[in-house]
Amino acid sequence: MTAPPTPDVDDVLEAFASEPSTDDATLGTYIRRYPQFALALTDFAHELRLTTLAEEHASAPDSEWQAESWRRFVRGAEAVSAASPPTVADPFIDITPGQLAEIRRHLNVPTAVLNGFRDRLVLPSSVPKRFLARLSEVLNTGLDQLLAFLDLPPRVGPAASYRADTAPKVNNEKISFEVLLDQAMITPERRRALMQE
Amino acid sequence: MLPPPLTKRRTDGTLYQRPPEVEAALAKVLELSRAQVITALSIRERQDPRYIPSECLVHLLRHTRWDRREPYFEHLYKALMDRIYRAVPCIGHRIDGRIGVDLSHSRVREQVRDIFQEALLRDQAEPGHRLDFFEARFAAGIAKLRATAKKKIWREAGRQESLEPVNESGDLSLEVERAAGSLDTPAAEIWDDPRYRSRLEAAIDALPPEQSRIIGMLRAGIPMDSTELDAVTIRKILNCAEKTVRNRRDAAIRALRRMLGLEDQR
Repeated sequence: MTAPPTPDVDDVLEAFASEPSTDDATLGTYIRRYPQFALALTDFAHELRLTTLAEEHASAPDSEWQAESWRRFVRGAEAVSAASPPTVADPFIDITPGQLAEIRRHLNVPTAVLNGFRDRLVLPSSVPKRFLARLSEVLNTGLDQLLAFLDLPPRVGPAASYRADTAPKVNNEKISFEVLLDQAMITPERRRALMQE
Repeated sequence: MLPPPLTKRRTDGTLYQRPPEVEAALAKVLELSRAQVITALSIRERQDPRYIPSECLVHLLRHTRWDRREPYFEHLYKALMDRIYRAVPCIGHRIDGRIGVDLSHSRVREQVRDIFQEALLRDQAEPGHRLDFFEARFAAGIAKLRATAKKKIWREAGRQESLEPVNESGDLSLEVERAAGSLDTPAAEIWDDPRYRSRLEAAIDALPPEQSRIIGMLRAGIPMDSTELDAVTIRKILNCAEKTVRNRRDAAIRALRRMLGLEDQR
């Protein structure tokens, strides 16, 4: 049989605050029961008394305090988002080879074109909106999410990681959709159709 | 609407819970439209049935997606700042014993605000249980932050020294014994008189921490020392000599009597 876990200081303070009365007698009971947290309990009980007393007195609101607090929050939120930009989901990450073949057939484009999107080589602004909408639909993602993904810098495709003899390098230059179609050797007729989407 | 449960767990695995009155108030608040909430935020009298308890305010703030273009969040945030402003007043006994705006109290308020703000930002970025304590018992959450803020400020200010000269002989004068008696006995003038209560708490708050803690423990009935081996005593808690405890207590009593204007009433 295992002994019940020893409560930590937060547990004890929370239990004390949950008592019907947090008077001196209750504090004494808790200090005797948890002497290891005696100082934390004494400080907490003192601050709780002060807080409760203060809350009973309705002071006038201070709009400058509120405005300054708001400005600090906005600055803090901006710093947080700058330090950790929101993560963008990779819509290609869970796509199986079978699904990829299906997407290729559905969009009527070769694998090289899809790889251009997977590796974020394409300038999103150069892609016709209709094609982007169809691609996001078959990838089962939102158009905004797909655009946020494509806005990220180009990356090394999975194939490059084992085919290259030296460490793969990423060219940070993106290419237009038209150039991608050209490099994938799409027929001029099909290219025109895709560009008009 | 049924409020979602809190997720913080105690070490025994049980979940934190809101008190029934907070749970009921939150269920009512969740029925309100945003416009109704904003109107209710202007009500500052806690007896008013339309008043939104601070615990509910914390809940609404946590569950409103942060968006700078969204004025609703700003309304909630500013209202909560008002609650913190009220809960941490900066008027009290100054270090010189007089009553007025105390800069250290003002810093405590700012520290409390900043610690809460940081916790909220982290909660927004990665929802968790950091603010569950505030959703269950706002005053207790603020009390914890006040204690944390004060420790930080005391450390920075090096405010660990007694303000009063300490009688190193360890002998208690009759007048100090009398004064101590008035603080030890629940039936005494200071404890029972409601007019004294908030003044007394503020005066204790102005004491150096090593003195205010002794007063706090004496009030809770913890003896300074004991011949019983397993008794919980102030001497053991502070891990110091009984004489030190007495000296600090005497210094505290003198300072309290002076701050409360009781010096000439013995």
